Amino acid sequence: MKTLARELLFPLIAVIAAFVVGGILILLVGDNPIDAYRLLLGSALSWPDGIGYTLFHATPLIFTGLAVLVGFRCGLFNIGVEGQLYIAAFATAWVGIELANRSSWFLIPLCFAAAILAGALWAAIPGVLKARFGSHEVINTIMLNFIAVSLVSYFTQYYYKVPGDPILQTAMIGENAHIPRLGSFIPGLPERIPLNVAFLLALLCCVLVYLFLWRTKWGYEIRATGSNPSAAEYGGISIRKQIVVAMAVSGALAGMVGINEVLGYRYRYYDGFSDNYGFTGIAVALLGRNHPLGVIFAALLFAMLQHGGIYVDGFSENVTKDIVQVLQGIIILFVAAESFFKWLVGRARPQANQLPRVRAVTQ
Amino acid sequence: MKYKVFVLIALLGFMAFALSGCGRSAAAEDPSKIRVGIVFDIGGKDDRSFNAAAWEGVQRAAKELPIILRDIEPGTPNAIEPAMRAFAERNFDLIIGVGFAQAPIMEQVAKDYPNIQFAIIDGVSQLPNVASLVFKEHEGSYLVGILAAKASRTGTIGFLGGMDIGLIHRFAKGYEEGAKSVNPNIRVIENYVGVTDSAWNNPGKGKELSLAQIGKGADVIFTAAGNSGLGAFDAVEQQGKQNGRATHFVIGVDSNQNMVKPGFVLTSMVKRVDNAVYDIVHQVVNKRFSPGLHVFGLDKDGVGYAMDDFNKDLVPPEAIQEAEAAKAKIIGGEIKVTDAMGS
Amino acid sequence: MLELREITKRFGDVLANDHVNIVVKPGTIHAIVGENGAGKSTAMRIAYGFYTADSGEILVDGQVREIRSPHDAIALGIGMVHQHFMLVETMTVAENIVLGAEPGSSFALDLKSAAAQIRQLSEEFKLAVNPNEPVEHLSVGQQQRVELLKALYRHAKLLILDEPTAVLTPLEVEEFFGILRRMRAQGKTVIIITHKLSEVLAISDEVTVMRDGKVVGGVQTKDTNAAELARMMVGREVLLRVEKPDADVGRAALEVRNLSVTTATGAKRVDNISFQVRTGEIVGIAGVEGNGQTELIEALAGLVEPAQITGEIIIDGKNINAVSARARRELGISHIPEDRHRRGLLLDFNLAENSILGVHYRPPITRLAGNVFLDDGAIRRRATEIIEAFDVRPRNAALPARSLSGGNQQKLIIGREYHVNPKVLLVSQPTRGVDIGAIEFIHRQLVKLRDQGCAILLVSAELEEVTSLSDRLLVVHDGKIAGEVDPKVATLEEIGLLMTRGH
Repeated sequence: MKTLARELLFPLIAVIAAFVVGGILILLVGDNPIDAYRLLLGSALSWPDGIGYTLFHATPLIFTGLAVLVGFRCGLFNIGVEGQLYIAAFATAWVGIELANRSSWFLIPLCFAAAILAGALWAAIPGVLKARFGSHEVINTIMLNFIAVSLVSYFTQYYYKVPGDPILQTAMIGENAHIPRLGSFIPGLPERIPLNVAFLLALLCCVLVYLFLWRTKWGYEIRATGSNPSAAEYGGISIRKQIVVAMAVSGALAGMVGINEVLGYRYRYYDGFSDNYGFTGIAVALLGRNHPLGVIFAALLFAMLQHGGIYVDGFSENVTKDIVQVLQGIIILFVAAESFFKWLVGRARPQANQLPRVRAVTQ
Repeated sequence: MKYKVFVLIALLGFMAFALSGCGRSAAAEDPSKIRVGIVFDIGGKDDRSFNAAAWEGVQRAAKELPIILRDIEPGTPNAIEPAMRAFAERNFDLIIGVGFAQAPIMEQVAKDYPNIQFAIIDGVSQLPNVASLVFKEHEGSYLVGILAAKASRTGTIGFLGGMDIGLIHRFAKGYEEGAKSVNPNIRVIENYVGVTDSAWNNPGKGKELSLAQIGKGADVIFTAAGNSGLGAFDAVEQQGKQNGRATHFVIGVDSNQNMVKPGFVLTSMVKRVDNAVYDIVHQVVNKRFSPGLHVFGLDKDGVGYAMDDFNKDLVPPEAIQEAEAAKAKIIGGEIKVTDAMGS
Repeated sequence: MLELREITKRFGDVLANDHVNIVVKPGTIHAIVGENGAGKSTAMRIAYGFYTADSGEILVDGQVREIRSPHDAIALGIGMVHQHFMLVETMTVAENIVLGAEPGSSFALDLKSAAAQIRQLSEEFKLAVNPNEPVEHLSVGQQQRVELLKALYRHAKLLILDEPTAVLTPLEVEEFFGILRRMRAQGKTVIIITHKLSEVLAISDEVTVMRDGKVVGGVQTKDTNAAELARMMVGREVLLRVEKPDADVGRAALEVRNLSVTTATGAKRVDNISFQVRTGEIVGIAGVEGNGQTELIEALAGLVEPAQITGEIIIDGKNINAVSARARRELGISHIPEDRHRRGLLLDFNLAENSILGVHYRPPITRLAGNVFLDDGAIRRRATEIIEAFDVRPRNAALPARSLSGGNQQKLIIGREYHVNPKVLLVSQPTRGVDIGAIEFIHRQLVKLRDQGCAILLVSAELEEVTSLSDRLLVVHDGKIAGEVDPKVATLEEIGLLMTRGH
């Protein structure tokens, strides 16, 4: 309980501090911060549209936050989530188009598998490169992002677009591949809101990722590798294998963004659909302190900012949607500057405690 | 310890300041006024081109007509639908969507709100509460094609498109036909920046393509490439001037871009998005909203070429006469410009 | 010369110094001893101005002085040499020494006269340091002398040395003590912080013993002995010499034939070594650190790429060159690594999670669905067994390993490696940085395991440890075996000679 409170303290301070600084900025542009924040949070939490859209926006962020988290826990910085989710979304649409006439029982699981496998395989490439040749995953994942985005654009443009469609998007997937919107079984939630079964899948993934990392031997090996690769190796753990496995799991999670987007929202692959979900996922994982539960909260917060930001942009006098970017930026900055807050709160660890540690290393 | 106290006080002070606010409540909205909401394209209203023109139109309307104007820049594809719904939920009278990419989304939203009037720019919808504002880009392009052919000394001219799609082919085809009407042997080099959304926003590649065209002899380049087109402006400026006159010219697009590189911009093929937007607001204010296709061609001054102080010395009167003659013939139906999109 | 009166210093919840009183007489070598965390270094850092005391006062030459920074301390003639040298490797000795105390006018750097002065000091104390040599070319022992020169150059009358012998070979230690004696003869005062009792007895005039932040005794060195000092440090009787019965030796459990190990960059670190370790014996490997011991043990544990190894490693008659680290563990090889932070522990994991490293993948730790899930109950049981059997404190399996003291971390590792009943145990530096009380315990456990029939290969830089524990002793030099000696009869000098000179 105490540790939980401590874990929550700094993210909370970061969020509050961000809102304070954001409030000052709102004042500077000549609006009332309270009105602006009321508009922001009120519209993000209104029923049913606000809540429905907020949860819809949170869905991809939960997936990408988890993807980044799994990488982090293995000591890997997966910046390639963006590319992985593009590849996966396209793969999902591809299956949904090619096998459009099959039954739902067959098609939907196949589409899920396509999303998960495509993401996992794409992410496994930099994993293998690192395990085999030691080339750095950050550089490789960044490069693969470019390749992924261009590749799916190419296939969309030249093979899967409806002729004459000015928009760069594929044809529609078969109706049997559609996954239900939550509105179809939650009373009061209209079906026009794209919140769909993928959100439940995201929550399920949080539980699964938790179980995987903390309750299985595989998770133990991944975390051990992330915590201290030398010690993991000493404990008989193959670091190379962990790197590939962690990247693949990370990519699989990233790939599930495609389920939300393709099977639950647009029912086609739409080029450029991602609002930097992969990169926001890094912030979500950081703010969520690399824990699945934290990821849910962080994703909800960012989704609220995103959805509420639309209303602030439209209905406040002078504040634009940029305020959302500012808030996000400040939150990340403050999370990164955690040690500053530790100092401020006076929780800095006694130096005396650290001395024996340093000594033991050098003796 | 002192520092900590100071920092804490400073933070608390900021907070108090922020929370007290200056108590200025949002302006009360007059219920009698018509409420207009506009949802921009991903590019945002400051793109100095397409979105900017729409923004200019609604702003003019807000100044001259009794309306309340609200705008949203979604910034990301998945925010377009909630943005449109945000206006619809609040019972706005007219919701304008900028750009063809919004057409399928507007189709969805307009179905849910049959009592609200919608307008889509560059897109087409059959719904009874949606006005589709489209332009005969090929007609305007025909006229700048004439001006380009008149200005060219090499007999070779260039076309720089953004995304390789039907809408942009329409510019290219009209341009080519206009140029050929002056000089049947003229060579038109046609290039596109790319096939994705980013094709609108890659001035570096735009410049490279333009330089390549110049290398092949083109001395006038018509650009229909959004931000990427600015690369063509750089490329012609780089060729410099001889005897006080530029050796190479660029033709701007959508908004009047003559002032972007004065002396190097032959003219701009303006698409009067501002006029179209203003018109539709005007219709709604006067309860004369008409759904369906609104085509803006040369006849309604929906497209045209821009002449102003920046380019009056670049285009000889004789060329203008020829362009004006062609314009009259197109309006009169004597000249049929091919529409590459075939509608 | 220096007196600390009622010095108290608190770090958060930890009382690092509790009314500490120390009197250091001029012209003496004064040893301050105590276990890790006893507050020795804290007291000396206060004297040097690194920390300010919460209460109490410092007297220098009988006058109360305020020392707020090392700058103040230097002005009062106090110098300190840290465990970690503060030298710029690419600069010469003279440049390093002058750094921060530039001579001559404030603009022109008069390195020449500084060098002359340094040369003179070096001769005076027989330090044999060339002021124009770049520091990166110097051995560790020479670098330490540069640090001494730095203090002397700033006219230090009192030198505080923090664990100065930790980095030195036995021969270098002797030389170093010679230097200290010469300094004392020249009227300098020396404070030496250490936890090695043999050194205290060899060099110091007076001893102050600290425990738990308090001074528990001050004695004349000539009036005391190691057992008494150890008792004061630990607070109870300590057995210093390992008592062990003769080895009951069986068949060869581990055999190494013509083993060579190269680094990834191709440098040969182990050069054609052959030996056997039989059940029921401890084979010691003595040598100056960095002579191939690390690579040898890692190669045996399966932590070196097979491509970097030539020769044969044989367990129970089978060649295991290509066998993975995990499979070697399954063959009954346990490994207590030399660097517990780098190899031995997952510092951010709790004790329970650390207690299963190496067996985490198989029953009884795992269960369900093809042994995929970790069994919390089994993990807790195992952790509790280890914690109790090896007296790991605090006895809380949920604490992160990082929060434990070095000795308790080491006990956790040893407990974990013992728990699998190894047939072969590879041990490296088992008591490095471990308190004296825990050392005794660890030594007894090693002997106990030997008597149960385990074959133990022991690497240690502590000559006393390796000679007293081993049944047979191999001395390595430059990756080769320089000789085998009988630890019962060989003298430290003999062994030291083999360690440094080779054949």
